[in-house]
Amino acid sequence: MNATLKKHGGLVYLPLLIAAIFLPKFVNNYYITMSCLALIYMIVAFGLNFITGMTGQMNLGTAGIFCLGAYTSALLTTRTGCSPWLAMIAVIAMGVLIGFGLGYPSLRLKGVYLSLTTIAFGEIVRQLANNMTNFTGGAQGVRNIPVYNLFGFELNTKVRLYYFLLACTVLFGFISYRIIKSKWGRVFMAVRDNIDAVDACGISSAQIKILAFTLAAVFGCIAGGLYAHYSGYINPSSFTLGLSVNFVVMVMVGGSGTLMGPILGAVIVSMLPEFLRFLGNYYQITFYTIVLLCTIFVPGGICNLRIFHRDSLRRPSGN
Amino acid sequence: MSTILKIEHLTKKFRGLTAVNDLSIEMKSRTIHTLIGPNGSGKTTTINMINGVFPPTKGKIYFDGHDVTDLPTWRIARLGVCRTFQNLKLFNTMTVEENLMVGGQMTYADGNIFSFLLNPVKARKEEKLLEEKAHEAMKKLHIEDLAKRKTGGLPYGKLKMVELAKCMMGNPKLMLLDEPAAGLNPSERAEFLEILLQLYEEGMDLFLIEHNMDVVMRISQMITVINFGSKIAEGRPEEIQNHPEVIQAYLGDRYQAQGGNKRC
Repeated sequence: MNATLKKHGGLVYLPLLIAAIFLPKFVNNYYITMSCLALIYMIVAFGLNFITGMTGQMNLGTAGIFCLGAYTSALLTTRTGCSPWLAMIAVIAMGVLIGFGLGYPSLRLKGVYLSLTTIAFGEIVRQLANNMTNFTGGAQGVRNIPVYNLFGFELNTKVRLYYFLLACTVLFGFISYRIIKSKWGRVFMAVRDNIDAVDACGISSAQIKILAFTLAAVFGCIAGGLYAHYSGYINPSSFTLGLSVNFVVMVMVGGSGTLMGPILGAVIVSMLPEFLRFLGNYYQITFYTIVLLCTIFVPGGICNLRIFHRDSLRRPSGN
Repeated sequence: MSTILKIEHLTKKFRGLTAVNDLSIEMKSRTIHTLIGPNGSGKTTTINMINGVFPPTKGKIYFDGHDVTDLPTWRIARLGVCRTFQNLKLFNTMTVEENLMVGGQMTYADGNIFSFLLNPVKARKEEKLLEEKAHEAMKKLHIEDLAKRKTGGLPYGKLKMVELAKCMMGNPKLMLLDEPAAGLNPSERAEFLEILLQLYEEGMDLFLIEHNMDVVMRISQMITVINFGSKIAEGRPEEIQNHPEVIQAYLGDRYQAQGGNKRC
C-alpha cells in the first residue's frame, strides 16, 4: 500500500462522504430509494469483506444472515410491539449466534465444501421463512414494520431514512476501517495467504476464522434489521441465493481487503442494473458480462488496480 | 543443565509406513542440537510432531517441563517454540514488515476484539510497539530496506531471512529450524550462520534439521542421527564424524577423522 495513502488513508473517504451528504439535493426520490438500498448493502459488504475478502473463506449464505436479521427485527417489533432499537440488540445477538453456531462447524471445511454448507444455510433459512407460515407469515411476509424513531423524530420520509442509513454506514465503515488497518486485518489476510504459518505464529487460525465470520454475521444481521425497518415489508423471496452471490460480487469486483472495495462494489452492483435499464431485456446479460470481464481483467478488484498502488508489487489476491 | 526439550519413545505411523520409530531425544537448554539423517528418515516428521502439526501415534513430548504432546500448534508456539519451514510459509500479499508484525502479535499485541474496538489509544500503542519490534528484527537480519516490499517476488535468500525474522518476532525460547541453509549460496549461508550464532548468544536454543555438513559440524554442540525413523547415533560432532554406522548410512568416508569441510 502506498505509504502516504496509508498514513492519511481516511481522507480519501471525505469527498465521498460530502457527495453522499449532498446527494438528496440533486436527485429525485427514486434514486434516493436506490441509494438507501446501496447503503444497506454496503454494510453487508463491509462484513463479508472480513470473511470472504480478507480471510478467503467463501461465504455464499449471506442472504440467509441478512434474512435472519430482517426477520428477527421485523417479528419482534410487529408481534411484541417493542421498539426497533430494542430489537437491534436481539439482531446483534442473532449475528453472534450465527457466527458461532454456523462458523464453528463449517469453518473446518475448505473450498467448495464450505461454499456448499453456506449455500445450504442460506436456502434453509429462506425455506423456513417461507414455510413456517404461523410464525413468519409465510410467502406473504411481514407487513407494517414500524420505522425507527430518533428522539421522537420519526424516520418516515425517504430523505430522513437516507440520512439515518448514511450515518449507520459511516459508523460501520469506520469500525470496518479500523479493523482492516489493524492487527486483526493483518491476521485475516495472513489466514488467506498461508494458514499453517498463522498457527505457527501462536495465533489460532480457527479462532480467527470464527471471529471474521462472526463479524460478517453481525454486520449482515444489522443490515438486515435496517432493511426491514427501511422497507416496512419483507418476504422470503427477496433473500435468494442470487442475493448472496451479489454480495460476493460486491466484495470481489470492488476489491477485497480495503474499505473502498465494498463501497464501490455495493454502489456498482445496486446502481449499475438501473443505469443499464435502457438496454431492456439485455440489461441483466450486460451486467453479468461486466462482472465477468472484471473478474478476468481485474482479479484483485477495482480498488487494487495497479494505478492506485504505483510503488508496490501487489499481486492480485487469491493466488 | 536443565532439559528444554524431551522426546520419549516417539512413534509416527502413516497407515502402514512407520516414519518415526521409538525415537527419544533429550535436548539440554543452552545448546544447539542438530538432527541429521538421509532423505526420508523422518526428520521433518519429528519437527512437525514437536510443534503440533500432527499428533504422534505413540510417545510423549515435553517442552520446558510442559507436556505438549497433544497441544495445538498455536498453544505450543505461545509456550515459546517457534518454527521455520523448509519450504517457506510467508504471507505473500503482505509486506515484509506486515509479515513480521503477524509473527510478533502473540507477544506484543494480545487481546480480544472488544478491547481493541473500545480502546483506540491502547490499540495504537500496540501497533507502534509491534512496528518498532519488527524494525529491530529487520535491522538485526539486515533486511530493513525491504520493509515495505511485498514478500511475493523477493529473492529466495531474502525470503529465508524474512522467515527467520518472523520466527524471531515470537520471542521463542526454542527455535525449530527446518533446513535453514538449504538453497542459500555460500556467502548467504555464512551470513545466516552468523545470525544463528548471534541468536543463540542472545539466549535462544536452536534445534535444527540440516543437510549441509559444513553448517552442522560448525555450529552444533550435539547431533542426533536418525535413519528410517530410528536413532542410530548421538553425540558431539567429533564423535559423530567417526561413528561407523553414521558414516555408512549418511556421511560417506570423506568425513572420517578430518571432518572434511569441502562438501557444500
